[in-house]
Amino acid sequence: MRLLCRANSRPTTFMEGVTGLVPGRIAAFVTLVILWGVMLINIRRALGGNLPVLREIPALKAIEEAIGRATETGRPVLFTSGLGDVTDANGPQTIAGLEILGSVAETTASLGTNLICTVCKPNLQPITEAIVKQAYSNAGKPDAYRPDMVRFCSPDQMAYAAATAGIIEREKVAASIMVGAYWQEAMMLAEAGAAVKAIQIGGTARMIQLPFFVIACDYTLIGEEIYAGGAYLSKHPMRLGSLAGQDIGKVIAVAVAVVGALLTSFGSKYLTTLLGK
Amino acid sequence: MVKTITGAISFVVGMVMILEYYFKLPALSSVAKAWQNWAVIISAFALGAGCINLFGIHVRNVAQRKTRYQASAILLACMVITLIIGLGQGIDSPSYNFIFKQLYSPLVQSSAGLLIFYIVTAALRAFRLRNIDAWCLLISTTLVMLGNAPFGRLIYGRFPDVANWILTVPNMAGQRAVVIGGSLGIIATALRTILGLEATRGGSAGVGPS
Repeated sequence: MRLLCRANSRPTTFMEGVTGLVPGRIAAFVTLVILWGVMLINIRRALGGNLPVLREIPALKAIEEAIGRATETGRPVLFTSGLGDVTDANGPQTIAGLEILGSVAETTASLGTNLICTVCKPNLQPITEAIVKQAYSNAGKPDAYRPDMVRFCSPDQMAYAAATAGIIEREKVAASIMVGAYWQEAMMLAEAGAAVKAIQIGGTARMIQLPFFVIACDYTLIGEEIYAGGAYLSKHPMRLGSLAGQDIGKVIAVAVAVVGALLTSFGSKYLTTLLGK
Repeated sequence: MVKTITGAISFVVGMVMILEYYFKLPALSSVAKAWQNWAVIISAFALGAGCINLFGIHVRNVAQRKTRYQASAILLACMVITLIIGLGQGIDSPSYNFIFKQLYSPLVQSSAGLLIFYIVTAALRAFRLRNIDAWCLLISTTLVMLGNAPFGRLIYGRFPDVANWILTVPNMAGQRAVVIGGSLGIIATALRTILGLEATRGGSAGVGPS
């Protein structure tokens, strides 16, 4: 529907004219609003006591086993959240990793296991320190926290990988938990952990690195499982509710994909055009 | 109090950045651009704080003669020398460029070159045929390799087609499913962070700065 047509300008549709939405992003905005609405409803339901039931994710279950093994052998646990920063497009993956770190740090604090966190981006240094410190405080052992638990390595990819691999090899870590946004350093870190016979749990949503984690690690969190990690380990109602909202979002996505595939098969481009607005 | 302030800041900044992406509002665009510049400046300060942490850890390693403290000493020496040359002569000076081009770049490229050996050792471990997953991995990998290698076509002319089918049908289907799930996870994480429900930022879930 064309509301007006001015000289030297593209015709403006009704939606764009009234709402000021950027052309080509209207469908994305509507999708975002719908998904957020679904997630908020489920968060509210979970906070009200209606908790969703989680399926078992072996990699997340293995985190406790890995920390237990580290405690028995007296060797440290290593956690690293990869090359991503909280300020870039990989921020959600890094945040997902840090959620898992919170639970890992609480467990290591309660068991008295040594924890080493390596950090690539300088922005993450204070955030990681705060998370670990808070976790030790929550576990009732604030004095057990040491500043050298969180080690900034380098913002450079290879220097970070070499530093972390060196720590894995020198400290002979018993468990290596690598969850976040990874690039090619994933392989280096995983092999360093394999060399010292550490239990390795890797997780990333970057498709290109997932195969390397799958073949090199004992357990892998694939894609969205890293976002479930925080909810799975903490069992906090807010996170569980958001997880339920994600699952409903997946159902919506599959339904739209099926309808779109059928319509396209019968020669209709309606849905394709609608989603491209 | 701190949580309320950080929550309010997260909400306002998050909503402005999202609205700026979806709506044509020049006022929002200029604010968003300014905040993005602030983030770069804060990152630069964070780098300084990170360097202090790095320095402290390695000075402690040397002072306490921990395992391989010699590597820590070399790191400290390199840091100090590079800092002095950079501050004294500038980052465009021949000495600084020498450190970057003749020392740093070869080291980075050597590290990247080690990857192939790591991939080979990992593949040798993964291809021990203990379960059905390992069999699927081995068969699909072999078919894709034969499809892409020149001699594969000599063995059987349709190997490239088979490899292409594996990559474009089951592989692509799996990738798209993972991407959809991951995207929903990103949307959920963004929602929790903007509304101050994200624990890592000091939200009400408990873990985070108080």
